[in-house]
Amino acid sequence: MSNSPHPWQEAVRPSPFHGAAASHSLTNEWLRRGAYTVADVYSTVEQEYDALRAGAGLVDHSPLNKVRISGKNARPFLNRLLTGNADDLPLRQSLSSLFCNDAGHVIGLARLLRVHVEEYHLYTEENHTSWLWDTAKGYNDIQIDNFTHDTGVLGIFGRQAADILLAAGADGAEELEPSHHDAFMLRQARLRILKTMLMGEPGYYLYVDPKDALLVWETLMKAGEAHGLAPVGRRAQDICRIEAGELRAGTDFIGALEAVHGNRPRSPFECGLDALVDLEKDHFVGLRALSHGAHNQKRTSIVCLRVEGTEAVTGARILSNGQLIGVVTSSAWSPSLGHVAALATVAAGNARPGEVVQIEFFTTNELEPETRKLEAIIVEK
Amino acid sequence: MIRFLSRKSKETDAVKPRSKDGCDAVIIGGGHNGLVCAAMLAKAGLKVTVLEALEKLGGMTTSDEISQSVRVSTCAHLVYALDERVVKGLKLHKYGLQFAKTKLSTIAPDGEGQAVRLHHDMSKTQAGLRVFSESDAAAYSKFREKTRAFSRAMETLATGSPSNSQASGLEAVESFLDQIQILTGDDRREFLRLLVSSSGDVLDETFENDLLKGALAFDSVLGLNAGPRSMNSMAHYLYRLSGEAASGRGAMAIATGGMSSLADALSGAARFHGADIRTGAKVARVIIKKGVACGVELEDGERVTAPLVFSNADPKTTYLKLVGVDYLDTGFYSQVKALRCEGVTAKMNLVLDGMPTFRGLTEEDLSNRIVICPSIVFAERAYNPIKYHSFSHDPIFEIVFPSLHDASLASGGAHILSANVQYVPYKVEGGWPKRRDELVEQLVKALNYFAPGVKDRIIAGHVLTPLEIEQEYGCAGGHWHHGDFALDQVGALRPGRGAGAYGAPIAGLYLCGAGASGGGVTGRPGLTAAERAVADLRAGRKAGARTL
Repeated sequence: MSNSPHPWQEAVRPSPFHGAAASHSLTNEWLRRGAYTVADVYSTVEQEYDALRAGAGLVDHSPLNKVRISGKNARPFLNRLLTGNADDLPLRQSLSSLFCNDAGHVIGLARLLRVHVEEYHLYTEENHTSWLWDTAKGYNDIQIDNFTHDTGVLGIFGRQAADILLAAGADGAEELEPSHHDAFMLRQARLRILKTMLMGEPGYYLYVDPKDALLVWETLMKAGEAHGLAPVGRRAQDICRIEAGELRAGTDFIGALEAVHGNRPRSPFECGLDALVDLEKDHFVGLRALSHGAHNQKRTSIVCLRVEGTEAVTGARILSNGQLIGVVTSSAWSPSLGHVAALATVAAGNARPGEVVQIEFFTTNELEPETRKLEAIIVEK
Repeated sequence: MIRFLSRKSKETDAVKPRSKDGCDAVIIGGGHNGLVCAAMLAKAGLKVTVLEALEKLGGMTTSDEISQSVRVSTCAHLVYALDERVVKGLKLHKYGLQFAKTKLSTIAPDGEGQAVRLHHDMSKTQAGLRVFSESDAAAYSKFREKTRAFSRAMETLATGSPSNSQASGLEAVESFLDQIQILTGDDRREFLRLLVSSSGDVLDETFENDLLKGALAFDSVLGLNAGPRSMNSMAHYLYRLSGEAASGRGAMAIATGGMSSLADALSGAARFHGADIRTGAKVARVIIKKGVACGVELEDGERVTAPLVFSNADPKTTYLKLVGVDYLDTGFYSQVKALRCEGVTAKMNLVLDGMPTFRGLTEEDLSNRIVICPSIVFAERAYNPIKYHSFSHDPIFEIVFPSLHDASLASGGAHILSANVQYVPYKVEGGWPKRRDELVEQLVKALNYFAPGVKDRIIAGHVLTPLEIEQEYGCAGGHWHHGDFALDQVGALRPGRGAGAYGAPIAGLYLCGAGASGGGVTGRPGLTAAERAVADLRAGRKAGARTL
């Protein structure tokens, strides 16, 4: 069991599902995420996208950072850490939330599962264990350990996901309410299943012992044959994520602990994540800053864009009446929307849906430098 | 400057926070700053309750009977720099505050028959210094002039702008920079240089006489966990000087009747203005609802509600114990936890069967403040063992004989030798229970060198190590100043970013003790906290809440 808070100190390693994933990879295109490599593309982005939107997609989420928080003070600690109300989270339920620093800037997004009375699991995109340890100073009877390498996480998302789980033999999982989770048996494998939405699709996270990883993968793939299940790589996931307007930490905003420039961190309001912040709570780290008037004046907003053309424009400048107002942070051609969808950060006050803006980026045309200008419209998330 | 309203003023209503029952302000701790704050708030028309854990008021400004009919100032022994605004504003003389002697000279013997004498009268001082060094006599006047001018800029850094507890850390730094702008180009450079210098270096380049340098070095480190060769010791010297400048008669004075008389006068003034003062009332926690302080809970479960809560306790006790981690942000908690507040000064009171003699000192000298610190090297050597949780065999002392000025303190020819001793660690290797006797023995032995025969005159004695000061008065680390006065622990950074200069990060909770802006018997933290709270009320601000 590794307690190392710094993934960069570790060698990159295969995810627990790597053997199975590799057997499905026609491209051999891998990507480093956290301490693992995961598939960027298995077959083609189009096929994977179609599977996810029409049937279901199998996604290796093992790079998620996993932290177990237990002890008598786990509950007050988490309620102080997270912006959402974790105080009365019932057993076998989960909370989608985020956590901030003192200044009310977002450090990361998190999903919290209460697995026992005094035991919680916290899943985050990036590794923030050192922040958790800092925040736990002053509490006795609390254990925080990073169990990232002790659990594989598999996602199955898409309209067929429930049927596939049923066909695979995870009896009872289909009855889970959204954001509820429980322990199940899938053949000989004990695992935890959480029902939730991701990339605009209903589905499940499966938390699996690494020794059972290949068994679970193969069981699901087999059960999913008749339901259009396919493994889905990072590229197709990204399209679906952008279509659904889901932010990714480090891509669409910089976490407060990673930012070097003082003006780069964002408040939850600037990220459009108001719904994850409970300002009525007694306290959480950053509450005082966030309830202060200054923070209600957003400096920037994250918006969705519909961009003309067919090319991804990530990193492009956004102009309004010739003035630079922002930057595109994620973008992809959306097969179902029929246009390029993008997420962008723009100066506050420029976020009105329907507003037309200009997109500008540098490229080359037969090795001649060229400035490309496109139109885009701000759309509802 | 905020003008306080008189009790009958028509404007009073405007100042009052709304409180249905209970009081307007509750003050945790009846140390001298808590009492100053209480009296000032009560005078401004607020209904104030003071809750003191001990049976006696005054905290570290207190006196006790040490043996039959001998009263000593148990902890602090000099009214070092009591702010004139406190003395006059509260008419403390009306409530019994009298000074038996003020403006004590500093007498620094070398133990071999020589002594340097620093008086408030410059020409008298210079005349004395000329015996040792013509150039030091000239340099001393320039040095005093320069450091006094710089101490005003230092005060701004220490207390920030008194009108606005909402000022962010950045604004506080700006107001400090404004203060620096007032200085001319060369002075500005010099001031900034002194801020980061060691007093040892500055004194070495200014003076040639070791005894003089030692006496001045003493004041740069008294109450500081640092030696004269440590960075920041010069800034500490300037800070101490700033207190002196703000005080009038209350500069380096001996209170008639001991230090309790200051607490008595302050509580008398506070009660006159309507404050309710309770002793034996130990606060267990600050009650916080929706992030706002709204009262306190006593150890016996009783609750006292008030829209304003002031804590005279040190920052660690206030935040880590009384508020608790659940209501603090991660970074702030770490900062308060990391606050350096281990005291290095012990207090020793000896009852002697008669006045001792000191090598090279006259009878007149003994009625002043005696500083035993014959050189910078001597002080630095005394400091060294602290780093390794031990204590030196040759400590440095600040000694006064209060009974010489106030016969009521000791009868029958007995006299009190009251001394601050450095450096005595908070934690000692082997533990205090085992090493306490060794410490006492060393202190007496060291003293006996400068005052031969004093050890045979001792009829009673009392020593408080920093650990005992913590246990007795409930201040974490047993530090008079509730935390070292260092550049990273002053002004807007004290006790942590977002709580600097009185405005706690928790709305409705103010610090009013030494932890807010620095210690010493100055009354300034209590006064400034009251001023800020009243300014916040007038401006309709959520008290204490501030931007980061």
